[in-house]
Amino acid sequence: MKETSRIPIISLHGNLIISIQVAMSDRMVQLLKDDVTQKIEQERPAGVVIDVSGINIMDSYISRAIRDLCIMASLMGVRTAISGIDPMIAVTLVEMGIGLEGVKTERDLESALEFLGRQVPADEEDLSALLESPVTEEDDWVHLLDEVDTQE
Amino acid sequence: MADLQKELLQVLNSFTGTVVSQSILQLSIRMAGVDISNLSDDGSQRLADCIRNGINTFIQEPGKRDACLFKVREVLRSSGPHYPSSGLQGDQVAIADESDILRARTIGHALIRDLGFSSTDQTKIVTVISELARNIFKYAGRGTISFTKLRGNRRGIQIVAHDSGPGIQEIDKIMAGQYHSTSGLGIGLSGSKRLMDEFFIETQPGKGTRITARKFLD
Repeated sequence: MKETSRIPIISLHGNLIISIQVAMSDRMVQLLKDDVTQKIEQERPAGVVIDVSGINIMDSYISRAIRDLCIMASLMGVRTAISGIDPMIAVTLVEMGIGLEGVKTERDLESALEFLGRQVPADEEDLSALLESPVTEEDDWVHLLDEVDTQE
Repeated sequence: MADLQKELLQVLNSFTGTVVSQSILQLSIRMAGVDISNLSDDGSQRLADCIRNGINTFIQEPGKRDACLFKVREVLRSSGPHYPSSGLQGDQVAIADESDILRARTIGHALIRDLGFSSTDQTKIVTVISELARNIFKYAGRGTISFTKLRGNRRGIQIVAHDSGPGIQEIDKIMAGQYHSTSGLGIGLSGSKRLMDEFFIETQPGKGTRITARKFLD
């Protein structure tokens, strides 16, 4: 049997970035869930972005797996976003009646990181300062307003 | 059986150059993960699928492709006990393992791309192939996905997913969207139906399921 490959999880400026580029098997989904929750526990990131720009097909199983991942991270108190859903996948999911309710989606990785509300720190000192400071209530309000805007 | 390899090479040689033939065959054997001296039914089918991909890559002319594939199948059929004799215009993928889901997707995708479906339609159809293949793998364990190019009045693709698994309970509720299974079967099937032009399900508890899905070009 081939060894199951893992989806890499990248820590960047206090966020976790998961970039999915392959068709995931059951086993890979399971491993990813374990890895993500473990990493959140260890590193206490400010946010998690799941970038799916490398996937060309999302069936109900995969979209569910990705949604579950987001909800899991949210339950652990981490802000999460999905980025990079291909336009043709968006059309397909909508026609199937699959929504990603309760999950924040962003156009691309950059806007997802912006959403997570972290400026890219200039140096390591800033980084540690940012890591220690919790997300303020004000930040949250700004994002809530953003969300209201886009929904209308 | 070194003869089989030689025979396959001869067929491929008559359609492409020697170097190309050798690389098609070597790559296919490696990708199929088969022992060519001892081919099982399943292995022979995998090999045929892989050679088919190679042929599609290296032979541009559709008529020549079909002819080459036909000869390759003949050779494989004569060597293997029961290699299924699917027609020239289609293909069949056995689903027995999770990796077969991806294989069905890849093979189906090549076929619908050839047919000239728009890229959005390609995404939709491949998503349906993925759903159907995954359902076979998850609920029945094994089965087949077959593809047929539809000619005549309405050109398009037909996908048939067949298994002899447990059948689907409460199919009417599932298709009406009243059924929210925790495993995701509900939305996968009803969603697939919405993505296709025609979608029929025949299922009998304990006997199996056959799903026929069609998408037309116009």
